Amino acid sequence: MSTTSLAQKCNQILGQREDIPGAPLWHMGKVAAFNSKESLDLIQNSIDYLSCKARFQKPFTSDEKEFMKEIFEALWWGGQYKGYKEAAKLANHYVNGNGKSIQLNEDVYRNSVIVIDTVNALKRYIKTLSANKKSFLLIKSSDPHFLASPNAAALNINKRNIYNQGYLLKDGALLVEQKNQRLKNADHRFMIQAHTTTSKTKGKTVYVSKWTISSVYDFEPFSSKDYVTNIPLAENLVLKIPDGLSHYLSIIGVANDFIYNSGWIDTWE
Amino acid sequence: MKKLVLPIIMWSIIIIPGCSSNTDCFTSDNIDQIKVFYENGKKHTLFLRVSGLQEKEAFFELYSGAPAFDNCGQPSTKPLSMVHVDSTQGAVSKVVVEEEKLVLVYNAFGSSQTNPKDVFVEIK
Repeated sequence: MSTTSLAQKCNQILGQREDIPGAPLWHMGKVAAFNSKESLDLIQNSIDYLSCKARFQKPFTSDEKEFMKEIFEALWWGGQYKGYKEAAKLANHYVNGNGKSIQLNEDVYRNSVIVIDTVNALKRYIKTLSANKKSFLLIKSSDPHFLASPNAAALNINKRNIYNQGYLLKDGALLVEQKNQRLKNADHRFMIQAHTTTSKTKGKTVYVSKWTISSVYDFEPFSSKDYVTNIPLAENLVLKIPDGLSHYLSIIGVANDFIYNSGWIDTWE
Repeated sequence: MKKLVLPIIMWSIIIIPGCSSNTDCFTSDNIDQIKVFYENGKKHTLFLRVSGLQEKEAFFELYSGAPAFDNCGQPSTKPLSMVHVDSTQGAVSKVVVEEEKLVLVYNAFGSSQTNPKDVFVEIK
């Protein structure tokens, strides 16, 4: 959509504006329980209105700020109920975390196909370095020598099924297997690193690796891509929240980008 | 309003799925039809899928015919080919369709902010 037509559309939306509804969680519940199109339209119209304000960087009233905060808090409830607790925790922290870093449970990463395969590839690489008496203290999935090694070759997109396995991108980021709804809604693409030490046990070399993942929780601003997050509340009733609006919340102090981490320690031979 | 918070919360825990009634997705994918074409008399459809919550990833998918998508964006049939848009490689300058396989051609100097929906499609 051109800038002119977008401005015209927004002027129309802004001109027709009614009050922002209170308790969006209530209305979302009505959509889910009673297939209430009226409640969906009420929430969606408010989202569209606030998106227009965000595009043109207009200030939000305190009611509008509270409305958007409650939308994200509603995602926490929905996510917790349906087993997407990591995505739920992150969404809530965006509006209630004041930008502080948080820790995610390691299980959501450790059960991922691409993480398991990449960790195994990194272990083989570390053993090779160890055998060649080269330093392996801190190895990242973005390490150019790792990426060029045969160990990383099996993780290449040409050898993987994106849906079932994910793959290792050229820059060393892991793309989550697309069937893994729980992880891709929490962390879709990330690097992993290993801090490894060794010891000798009964003549065998034992490796102890601390695996860590660190990501930033933020949304893309309005751009030519104009990504939208779809929240399906009922059959054919989907709430659409532009990522640019979610990003704008961090500009006006309703939300804060933050770092989230996860990790585990692994003893292996 | 504060007095209504607890019943609202209880109602919401019971009611809000955060997803559709038929499949358990927290968010549903955006699916855009990019092109319909015929090859050897067979209909093919190219879609752009954008998936994820705060971190979106885009994929081009080629299907035989025209699949239906459920509330979560899951197709009724498997794609013939699926490729990921790797933004670290630059902008996608074109999508090439050859023998029912998709290949993305990147412009390393192009902006990764270019909308992949607007990409040129070449059918060989």
